[in-house]
Amino acid sequence: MPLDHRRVPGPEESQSPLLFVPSSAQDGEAPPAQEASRDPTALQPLFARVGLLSQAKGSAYVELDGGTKVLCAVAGPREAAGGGGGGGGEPRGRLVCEFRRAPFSGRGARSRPGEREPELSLALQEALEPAVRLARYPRAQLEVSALVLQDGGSALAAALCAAGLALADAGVELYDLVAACALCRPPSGGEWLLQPREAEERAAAARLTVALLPSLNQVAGLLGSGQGGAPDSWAQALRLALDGCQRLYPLLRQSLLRAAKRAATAEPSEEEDAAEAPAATTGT
Amino acid sequence: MAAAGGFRTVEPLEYYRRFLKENCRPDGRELGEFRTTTVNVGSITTADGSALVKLGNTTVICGIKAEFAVPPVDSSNKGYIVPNVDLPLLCSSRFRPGPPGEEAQAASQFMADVIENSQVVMKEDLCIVDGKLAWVLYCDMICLDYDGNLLDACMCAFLAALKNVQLPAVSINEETGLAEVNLKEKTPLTIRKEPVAASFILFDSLLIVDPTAEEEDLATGTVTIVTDEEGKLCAVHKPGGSTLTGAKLQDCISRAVTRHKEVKKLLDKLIKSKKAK
Amino acid sequence: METEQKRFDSGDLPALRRILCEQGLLSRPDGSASWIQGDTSVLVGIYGPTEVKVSKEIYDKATFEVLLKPKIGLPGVYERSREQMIKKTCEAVVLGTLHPRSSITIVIQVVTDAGSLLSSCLNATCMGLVDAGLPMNSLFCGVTCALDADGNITLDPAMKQEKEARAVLTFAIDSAEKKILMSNTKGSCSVEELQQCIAASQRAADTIFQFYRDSAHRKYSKW
Repeated sequence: MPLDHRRVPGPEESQSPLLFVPSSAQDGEAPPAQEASRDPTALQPLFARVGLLSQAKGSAYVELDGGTKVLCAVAGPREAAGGGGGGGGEPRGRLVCEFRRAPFSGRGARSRPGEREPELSLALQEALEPAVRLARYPRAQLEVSALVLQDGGSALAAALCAAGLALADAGVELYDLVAACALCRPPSGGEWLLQPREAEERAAAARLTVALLPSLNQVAGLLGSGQGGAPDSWAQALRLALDGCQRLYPLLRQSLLRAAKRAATAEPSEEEDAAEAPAATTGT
Repeated sequence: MAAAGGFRTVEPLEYYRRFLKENCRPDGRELGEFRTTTVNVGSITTADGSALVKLGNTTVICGIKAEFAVPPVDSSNKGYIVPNVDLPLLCSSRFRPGPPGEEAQAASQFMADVIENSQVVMKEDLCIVDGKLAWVLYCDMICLDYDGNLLDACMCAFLAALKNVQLPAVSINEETGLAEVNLKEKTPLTIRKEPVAASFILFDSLLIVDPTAEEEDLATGTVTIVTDEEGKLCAVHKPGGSTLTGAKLQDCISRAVTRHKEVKKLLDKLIKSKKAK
Repeated sequence: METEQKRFDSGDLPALRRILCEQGLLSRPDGSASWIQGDTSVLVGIYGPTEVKVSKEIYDKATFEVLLKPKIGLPGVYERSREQMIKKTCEAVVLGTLHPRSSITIVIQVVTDAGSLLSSCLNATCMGLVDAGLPMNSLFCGVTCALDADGNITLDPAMKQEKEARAVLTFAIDSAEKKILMSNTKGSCSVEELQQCIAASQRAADTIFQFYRDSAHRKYSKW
């Protein structure tokens, strides 16, 4: 393990205490029977709050009943870094996404804070791009960063929902909001489960995350892996996910409306002030 | 209002001075007034201890994860405390993505210094078997919303999270010589000292308490004082900036002592209400 | 070029270790100094004011950058925090507004660490800045005090004394008003002890500033 010179060093090696729990005690911890009995189409209760960070242009927090907590912030649009330099520039804006987990977000050992999640960052970017009117932001970049504070399952789906809300909160021009659902298939075969919890996700043989633009009814992102069985089974999973996303949509819309109402009643002059600020800064 | 906003953008210093002349600040506070502090503990269940602290807009979350490691070679009866402060892009657009920048590193080192200076937790208490097994407490502080006074918020979040830590019981299996963890039996940490920080900025020979990010940018220097419950100094941290007399420093210290009482009351109340549940 | 100051034993002031300083010993940097305080030795090179990277440019003042190189290994978080302290001290003292949109880089190489390292770095930096001819509103010096278990103050402690001390306090003091520019503490102490240390440091600062003056005087009178 290379030494990280930018962080306070700890011991070279450490193990999670969970590894040292005697196996007899571990069996009683997660009764699998209970999971199997749940309704596969049930959504976890979702809590969303928009516009809670003071420094970000737009922000959203999404919490699922299973314990997943995701915070997302949007910065920009600002001049695209690099890439520029003379020749015309890009006609379309760029979306830069970052997906990170807090070191304490996982159940077992602490994840190394340096570990990035390039795959999930890319998934986030690819799923959000169809939703944003990037042509309206030439030569600019929008930065979306999602931070998982606690992973209780379906973290990417929650991050996608939060990112969509944060983009809307930032006033970025969108075609539609993004609603996303995760699914997983238990190892025993059986039916796909919608919005799995952490224990279900860990045991799963296949996982799928679907992002949907609900009012256009277009799929924006799809990320699946594992042994899913017959193609029919995947098609069925997709149908389940689309249905789940459609059911999530009103919840997300409500949270946006709530935030807009809150802003309108609290500080009516805020809008005017915010409109003034960029006009003054672009000159410099 | 719109005109004032323009004035604020173009002449931030002059804008700020106008307020100070009237002995108040743009956010309506007096010079010696802290922002509302709220603390929430135990919200992250995947961590062994956690706390979310809000100081006005500034938000810091601290999660502590306990793991096993072999004690250091030079002191076989000690465990580890590893504090790290992270300032992600999320908390303010002034920070760059990637590994921790200068400010995050300086804050991490400050936290490490205070932990060492104050002996908030004796590292000997973290040892399980001399020379073989000890606890490592990874304390990760992540700033979620950066609106100034990072150090106070980190310190408060760290202390609250530490009070929230529940370590599982560990016994050594005589046959295998391996550790056995009993997750059903948990004990809190022994906290020896309670360090609390109070930060000030220097602005035109004025001392201003608990600065926002905007105020920090305008200031010519910062001072952070950390005291424990006996009024002893755990850190007098003034990383450069404009000069300060001994008398002014004394003023800072007495305010820090008052602040300590407020924060301690807040934390004690919180812990009590948590226990009552 | 080399100037030397014998051990100070002035009155009730506990002795500082022997100080040795040499300015302008490196040819490439715009200013340089080597500072030896007891067995602690540091070397400073100063580059600037020169061109600055666009990303770091500040429109109304100079951009400071401090690099602290430990004797062995790569700089870590500890070095980064000390760099920040030295940087902010320099920013307060050097008239950076006279050199807008330029960079001033200070490279400090630790040669040997035998206690009071931070104050040695500060002293060396100040001598380097003087050698580089950068405009400053005052000089500054670093003083380290160690408090032992009985509350006795040792100025400029050696490594062993630092390890045994209950608290180690380092201050940077300016030459104009003897006020505190920077403060860093290790270990815990009471408020009275802090004030005593500040007073002792201010007295010790006089001796160091006298040394600065003597060494500059000697350097230029040789011509």
